[in-house]
Amino acid sequence: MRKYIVRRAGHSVLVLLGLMGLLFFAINILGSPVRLMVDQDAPPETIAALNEKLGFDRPIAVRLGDYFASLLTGCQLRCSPDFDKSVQYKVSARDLVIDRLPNTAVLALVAWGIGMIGIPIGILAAMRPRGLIDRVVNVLTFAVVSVPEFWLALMLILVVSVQWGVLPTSGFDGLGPTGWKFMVLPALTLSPRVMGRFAQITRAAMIDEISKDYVSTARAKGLGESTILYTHVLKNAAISIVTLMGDELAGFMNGSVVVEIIFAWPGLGLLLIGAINGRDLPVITASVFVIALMVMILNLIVDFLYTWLDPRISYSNG
Amino acid sequence: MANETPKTKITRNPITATLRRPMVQAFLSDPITLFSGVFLTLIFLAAVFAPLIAPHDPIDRQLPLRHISPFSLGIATDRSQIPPVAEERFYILGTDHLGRDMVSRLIYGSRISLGVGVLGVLVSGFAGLFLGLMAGYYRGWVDDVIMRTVDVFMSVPLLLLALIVLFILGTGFLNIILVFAIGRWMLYARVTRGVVLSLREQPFVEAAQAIGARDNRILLRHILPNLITPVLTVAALDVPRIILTEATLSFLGFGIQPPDSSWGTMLASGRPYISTAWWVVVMPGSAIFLTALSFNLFGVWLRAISDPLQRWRWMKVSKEAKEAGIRN
Repeated sequence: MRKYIVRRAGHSVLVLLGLMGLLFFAINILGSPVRLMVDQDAPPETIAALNEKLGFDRPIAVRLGDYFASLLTGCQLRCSPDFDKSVQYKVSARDLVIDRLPNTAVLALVAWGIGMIGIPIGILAAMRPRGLIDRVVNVLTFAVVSVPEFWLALMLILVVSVQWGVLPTSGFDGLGPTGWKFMVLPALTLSPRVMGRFAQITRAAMIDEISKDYVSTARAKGLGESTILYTHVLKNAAISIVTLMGDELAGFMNGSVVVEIIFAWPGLGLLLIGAINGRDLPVITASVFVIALMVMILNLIVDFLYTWLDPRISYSNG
Repeated sequence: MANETPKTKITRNPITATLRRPMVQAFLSDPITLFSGVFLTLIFLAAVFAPLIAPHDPIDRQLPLRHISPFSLGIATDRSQIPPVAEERFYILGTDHLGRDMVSRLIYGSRISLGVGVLGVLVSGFAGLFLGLMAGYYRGWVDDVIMRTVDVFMSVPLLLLALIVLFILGTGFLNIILVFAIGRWMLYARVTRGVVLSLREQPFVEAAQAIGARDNRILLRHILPNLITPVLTVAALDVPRIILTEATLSFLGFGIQPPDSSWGTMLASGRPYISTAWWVVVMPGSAIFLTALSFNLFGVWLRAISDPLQRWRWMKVSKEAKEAGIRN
C-alpha cells in the first residue's frame, strides 16, 4: 500500500515537472521571453535592456537550471526571472498566487458540494435503465453540461440580480460570514456541470455493476432490491465513480476561470487573465504552476481514495 | 426490476436478432436522437449554404435600427444601390448594437463555431490516432514517451492550456485549431493505444505477421478499421466541448477576432446590453447550447449503439415499449 502511494506521488511530481518544462520550452520557443512581456512595437533597445536586466540574455541551459532550482526551492534562495516579482504589482508572484489560492479553492469546494446532488440522481436513473426517469435524467444531465458557463452566469445575473434585485451582480467580501452573498451566484453557475457529470458517471457505473453476476446471485438468494442496490452495487460502483471523477478534475478548473472573471471573484483565474492581459510573465508561470499543482494533489487524493475503496489495486500494482 | 439483465430471454436469441436490424431503424426509433440529428443537419446546412439562407448581410450596419426587438419590422437603408434606397426589412430575431441582423449573424457565426469544432476534432483526432497507433503497436520506449506526455497534457485544464498557447502565439482561427490539436490529441491517443494493445494479440494480427505482412500494412489494413468506431465516438462527444471552449475563449477576447465572428464573439459584444436587449445575449447562447446538446446526445447514442450489449438494451426497450406500452 505504502509502496503504491509513494510510486503514484513520484509519478505525479514527474508529471508536474514535465509540465513546467514544457511551459519553459513554450515560452522560449519564439526567442527571448521578453518579447512576450513588452508591446509588439517596442523598440529593440528596450527589449535588449530588459533582456539584460532580467537575466534573459544568459545561455538557455543556465536559465533552465535556474528555472527548476527556483521551482523546487520555492524561490527561497534565488529566483529565476520566470518566477520573480510581478511586473504589474511589483510584489513576489509567489505571494500573489498564495494569496488568491484559497478563494478559488473555497468556491470550487462549495460548487462541488452542491454538485454532489448528482450522485443520488444518478442512482435513481440507474434503477430502471432506459425507463422514463432515466430518459429524463439523461437529457437533463446532457443539457446542463452543454450550457456555456459564461452564458449561465450572465443569465443568472440578468434574472437574479437585475430583475429580482436579490443578490449582488459581482464582487467579493472575504470568505467570512459577510461574504456569502457574493458566493451564491458563482457557485450556482459552476455546480450544474459538476452535478450533471456526477449523475452521468454514477448512472453508468451503477448500470455496469447491476449487470454483473453477483447481483443475480444476490437476487437468487432472495435479498431485497434496496439491500442489493445500496450495500452491494453502490459500494462497488463507488470505485468507478471515484476513478472517473479523477479524469474530470482538470476539466472543472475551466469553468472557474470564466466564472471568476464574470463575477470579479479574486481567485487564480482572475489573476491569470489579468496577468495575460498585462503581459506579466512571472505571474503567469506561477499561476500555471499552482493550478497544475492543485489538479495534481486532487488526483492524488482520488488515487488514495481508490486504493482505500479497493485494496486489490495496490496489491496488484505495488 | 427483475428482468433488467439481458440474460432473461433465451427463446429467440434477441441479441443477434437486434444486431441484424440496421442502424437507421435504431436512429429513427429514438425521438431524442432523431431530434438532435435533425438539428445538427440543419445547422450544418445553414453553415454550408450561409450566403443563400441568410436574409440580410451579416455585417451591414443600420445604426438607426439598433437593438430592434425580435419579430419586428424596420426601415433600413440599402447602401449597395446608388443613391441609397430605403427598404422595409423584417428582423426575425432582432438586431444587435450596430443594427446588424441577428439571424444572419447567427448563420454566418455557425460557420466559425462549427468549423472550429469539426476542424479541431479532425486535427487532434488524426494526431492522437497516429501517436496512439505508434504507442500501442511498437510499445517499449515509444509507448513510454508518448504515454508520459499524455499524462502531462491530461493534467492541464484545457482552457488554461489554450490561454497560454494563444498568449504565446497570438490569436486567430488557425492558432485556435492548433490549440485544440495540442490540447485534445491525448484523448484519441489513449483510446487508440488501448484498442491496439488488445488487437495486436489477436490471432488475425498474428496470422498477418506470420505470412510476412509489413507493419504498415498490418496497421492500415487490419488494425485501423477496428479503430473507426471507438475514435468516432470520442470525436462526436468532443465536438461540443471544443465548441464550448472556443465560445469561452472568444467571449474572453482570446478567440476569434473581428471582423470574423463566432457565437462566442457575438455573446461577448452583446454583454454590455444584457439588461436592455436580452436577445443579443440569449440568441447566441441558445445556439451554442442547442448545438452542444445535440452533439452530446448524438455522441452518446453513437456510443451506445456501437456497443452490442448496450445497443441491444436500447433497441429492446423501444420495441417492447411499442408492443406492450410499458418500459422495461
